[in-house]
Amino acid sequence: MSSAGENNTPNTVDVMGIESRAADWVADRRNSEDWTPERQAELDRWLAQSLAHRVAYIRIEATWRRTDRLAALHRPMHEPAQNGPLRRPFWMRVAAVFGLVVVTASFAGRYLLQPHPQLIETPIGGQERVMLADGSQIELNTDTAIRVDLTAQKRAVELVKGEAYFEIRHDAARPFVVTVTDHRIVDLGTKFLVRTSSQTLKVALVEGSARLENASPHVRQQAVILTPGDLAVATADSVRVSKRPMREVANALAWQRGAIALRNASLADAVAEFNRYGGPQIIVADPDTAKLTINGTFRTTGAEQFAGMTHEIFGLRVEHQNGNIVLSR
Amino acid sequence: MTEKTEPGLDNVDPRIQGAVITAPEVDAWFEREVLPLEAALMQYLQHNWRNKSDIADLRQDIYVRVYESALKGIPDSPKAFVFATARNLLIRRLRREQIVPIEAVSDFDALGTAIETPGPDSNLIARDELRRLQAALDRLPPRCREAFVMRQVDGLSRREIAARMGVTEKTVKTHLQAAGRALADILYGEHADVRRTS
Repeated sequence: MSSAGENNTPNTVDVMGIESRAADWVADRRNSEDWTPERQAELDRWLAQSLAHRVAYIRIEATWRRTDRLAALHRPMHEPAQNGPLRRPFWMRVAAVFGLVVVTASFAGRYLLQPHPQLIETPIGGQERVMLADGSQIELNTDTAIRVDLTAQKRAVELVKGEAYFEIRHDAARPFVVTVTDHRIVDLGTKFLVRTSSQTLKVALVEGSARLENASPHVRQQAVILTPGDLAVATADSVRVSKRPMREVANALAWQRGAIALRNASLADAVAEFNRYGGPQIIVADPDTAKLTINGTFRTTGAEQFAGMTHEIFGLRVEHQNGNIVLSR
Repeated sequence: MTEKTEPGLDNVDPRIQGAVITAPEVDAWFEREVLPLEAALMQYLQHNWRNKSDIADLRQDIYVRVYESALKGIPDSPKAFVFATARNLLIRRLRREQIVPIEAVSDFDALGTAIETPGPDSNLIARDELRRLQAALDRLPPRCREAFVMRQVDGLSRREIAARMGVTEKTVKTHLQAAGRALADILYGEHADVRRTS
């Protein structure tokens, strides 16, 4: 076929060149010992130059991420270091993990096989994915603690503080129960998000169903069955359930990919979200300003960028004081 | 902007939406919904475009257009959207060449909907995925594979890999770059050939 007309296509720039460059960037960024903020800035600039760059980068990065699960084949650390290149042993190791649930490790993951109770915590700004021996998974967001107790009879997890996302393998003989202060969530084969703060408990149901009940002996409260899209907000003596668009539920899970997704959020709520992740704390100077409405998706680490945006859009004054960012009119 | 903004989408400054519904959301969508269609898309392009050397370029062009549209709003049906974009692009290119075989254009529709695409990833297929990764690695050139395995399985740095392989870091870098590209073409661009032992 003639390629006479091809040259005026704007995107017909050297695809192979872009792909190689993208593949270089991905490999570079993953080589953390040489990765510096300067390099990151350079990468950001390259990505911003054209969507062709961005798309090529996403594709190669996604490929590498898929292969991250190969790390499950890694030998234990205490094994004597092997000299020279690895050959057969690698392929033989494949067999060893076939019985396990293999995980995409977009952030640190660990297997939890021990039968005794265990406390797992994330620091402010941290995240962790925990794989249970039964194939269930729990993802912990920033500043979160859970206590896990798995026995032959039951599977019990207490959310001590913070926010966690549960993907539960249903087992009728061994119910999975999540307790949060006065409340109990009993899985009926499900994926759900639980977040607790000083006064309230929020449960967002993503898939399947679960039963939410009050465990306090002093409160007579009807158990509610949650179905996908349900958001339950519970206090010590009340439960309110509302149906939300799945998009909203998905936004609540944005942290799994390091993002904060805001839809018609007040500035006050938006700021509270950023402040959970331990970057510079943002302070809104007055209640009127705090009512401004924000839409958008940001990096959890993007407090500075966010503050800059409020300046551009709303004309807010952005001041740095003692490591905090103060927003005012 | 001095007047007070009330909650509600209509009152939100359009710049906020335009400017910030970007990176992470669309990136994640692209990876989750669009990349898994690549094998089907490549099949479609190979069926419908005679000049095979254009295909990588066409794919890239389609991806850019799809991503660009998604920035304005995530399409409801990624599959329909990707194939409609592909079809429009092919038609535009054919027009430019001033030879539009009608049957080629009508073929697009039939194929676009008939192509089977895999369902979403799930843990249940993790074992198959591992086999697939293994088969893909197997097809890399030996030195390239060696470097990639040390990186991804054993978590070695480029420096350590270079020392073990007895080559320069730059060579390791080239291996890793080539591995990334080749694996993308295999893992996304080709249909999974998973033989289940049942």
